[in-house]
Amino acid sequence: MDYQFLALTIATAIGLSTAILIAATGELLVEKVGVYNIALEGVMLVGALTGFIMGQTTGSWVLGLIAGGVAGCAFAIVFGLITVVLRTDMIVVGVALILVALGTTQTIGASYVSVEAIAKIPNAEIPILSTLPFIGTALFQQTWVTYIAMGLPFVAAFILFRTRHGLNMRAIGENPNAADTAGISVVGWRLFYVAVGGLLAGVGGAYITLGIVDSWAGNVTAGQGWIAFAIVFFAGWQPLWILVGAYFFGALSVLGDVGQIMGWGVPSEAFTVLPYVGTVAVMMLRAWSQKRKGAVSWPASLGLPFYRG
Amino acid sequence: MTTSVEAVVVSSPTHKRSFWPWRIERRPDPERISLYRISAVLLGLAVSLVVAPFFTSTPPAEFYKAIWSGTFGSPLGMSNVLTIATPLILAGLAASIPYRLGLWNVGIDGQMLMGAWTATAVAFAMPQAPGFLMIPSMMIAGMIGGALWIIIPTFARIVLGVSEVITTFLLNFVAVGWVAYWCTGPWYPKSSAGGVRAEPLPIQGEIGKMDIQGVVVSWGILIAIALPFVFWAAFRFTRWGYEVTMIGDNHRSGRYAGMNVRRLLVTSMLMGGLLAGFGGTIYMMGTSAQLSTGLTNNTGFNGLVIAVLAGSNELAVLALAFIYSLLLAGGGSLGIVGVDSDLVFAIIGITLIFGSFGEAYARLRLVRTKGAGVRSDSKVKEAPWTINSSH
Repeated sequence: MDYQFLALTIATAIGLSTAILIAATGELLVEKVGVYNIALEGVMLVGALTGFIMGQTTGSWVLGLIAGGVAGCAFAIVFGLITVVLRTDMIVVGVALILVALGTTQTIGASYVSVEAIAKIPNAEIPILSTLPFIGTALFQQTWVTYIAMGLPFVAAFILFRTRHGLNMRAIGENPNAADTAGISVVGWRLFYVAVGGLLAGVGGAYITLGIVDSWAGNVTAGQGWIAFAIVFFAGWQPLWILVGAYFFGALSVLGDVGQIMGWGVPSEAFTVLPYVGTVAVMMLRAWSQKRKGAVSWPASLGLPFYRG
Repeated sequence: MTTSVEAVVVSSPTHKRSFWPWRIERRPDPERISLYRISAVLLGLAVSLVVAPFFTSTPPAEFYKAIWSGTFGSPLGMSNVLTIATPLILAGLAASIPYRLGLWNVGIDGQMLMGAWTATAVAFAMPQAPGFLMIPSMMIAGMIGGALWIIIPTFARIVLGVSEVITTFLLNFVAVGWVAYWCTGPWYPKSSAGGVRAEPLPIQGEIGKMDIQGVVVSWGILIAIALPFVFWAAFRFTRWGYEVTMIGDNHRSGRYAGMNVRRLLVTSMLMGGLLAGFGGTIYMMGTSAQLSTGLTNNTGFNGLVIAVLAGSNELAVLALAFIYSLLLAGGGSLGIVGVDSDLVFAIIGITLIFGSFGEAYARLRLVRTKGAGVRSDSKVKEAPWTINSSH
């Protein structure tokens, strides 16, 4: 494998991971306050279609991403109102909303199938850095969205671990009753972060239709929402591990194709299942080591409805 | 009874900071939850079926006519309904039995695929065997394959405390990858006919079809209809069923009564995997007689939904699975009038959300917070539908 090919492979892996990275960072924030939005795949689908339609009508990818984000946010707020405010089961409502998203986007988007996007997200080559021999091709010829997405986990880490608000967020996730006693609005902030997570997932979805596949098709997200969901578990709720996880998953999906081209003799399915096997294994290993220390990595109230008292 | 001391303690500064004059709290004694839930589901179904045609360009009359002819209206429609119902009933049971103990089996699709894969492997290992030998061996292999696929999540849950929601779910993707490998590699069909499919099963490995006045369906449906009754009886008349029911109500009391909770958790999870594997196997043997990655087509998720709506009642699983198959078959026939058949997913999703509202209404109430310091939350026992066991 020559260097140019390797550099291009890395560049492709990073580009493909962008949507997953954005959605996973949002989901991390949601889970840190004790909610898991299983409907992530549905939120991304809604964002993908809305972003694509907006891109087609206005011809602007910026407006497309914004529209995707707003639609994802609205869809996630529905999830939040039903689960966080009405305290119903997150799994059932999540599955229901995925079905709703799948059905409505297929029906509404039928006339947009196999139309090429007119508002593709262009690559932004960073002036000097992109001309560097190897690193330039691998890292600095991406879209702006990809560069921003790289920074998102750092922003999340800063908010969570370096600000008072982040301390409150973690308190809500770990012990909502204590947070409530301290005067933090548990339901309010949970709803807020479900909306933020939906916004990011919607942008991620719009990035798929405007920046990766450049077209709309039914179920265009093809499990990327689920991968983002798995990455949060893989990362053990650590923001910077989200970055590692997203690029690791992206690299594996590219390696399947590379293996075919290079004739490694490894079935491409091995690369597609490895992320999932890896996540299960990492979760079990982490739980095993933490069991001996007596600590857990997930937010203690994850998935539990909050009742005062 | 509330003393003044409690009232002082409770009216903390948080109440004054809330700009929302209402507060949602649990009803102290929620009643008839399943009645509210089922009524809301039926209401949701009616509403979404009425609204759905307006999202399409098809006239409502044709829309409903297509659904009717795809279900009760024609023998072909009825055959479809019963064919879809076969794996759906088993998937519903596969989710329902762990759910009795507060465990989520989100990996039914994967277990179905692995059951079908194991059964196929057995069939290919003895291609000359007669049918009376091959069919039972395949069924047993399917059960074992499905149960094996849930062993790792069960171990992770019971020994390490890792939530089974995510582990069972992620293994679905692994099962799809595994089946895709066998369909494109070792079992690549001699005549490929679209999709990721394996070489067809030997002819004697298929389950026969019966024909009742034009309604053609495999014998598998009889097994699928019988099983909910078997489990319904098992939960009432066997020791295992009694213990599972009792621990499902309250883990602690069962432990005091000397029950081995861990053993019951393991057996109910394995039973879920076993039923899922069996469902995938008889569905494959009764329809395409061919392993494929699209075999389950989200049957597992639908089964999970059915189990939650049915709320620990096997006969309700049977009834709901039948209603669900009517929807899926009716939705499938919408293609004739130019409507994307996935619209039916939206109908099901909205129906489910209505069900959630009904459940919330039965469990919660709105209380005016202005000047009120009394709370009744703390005396309510933990709702059984929370995932409290996963931590």
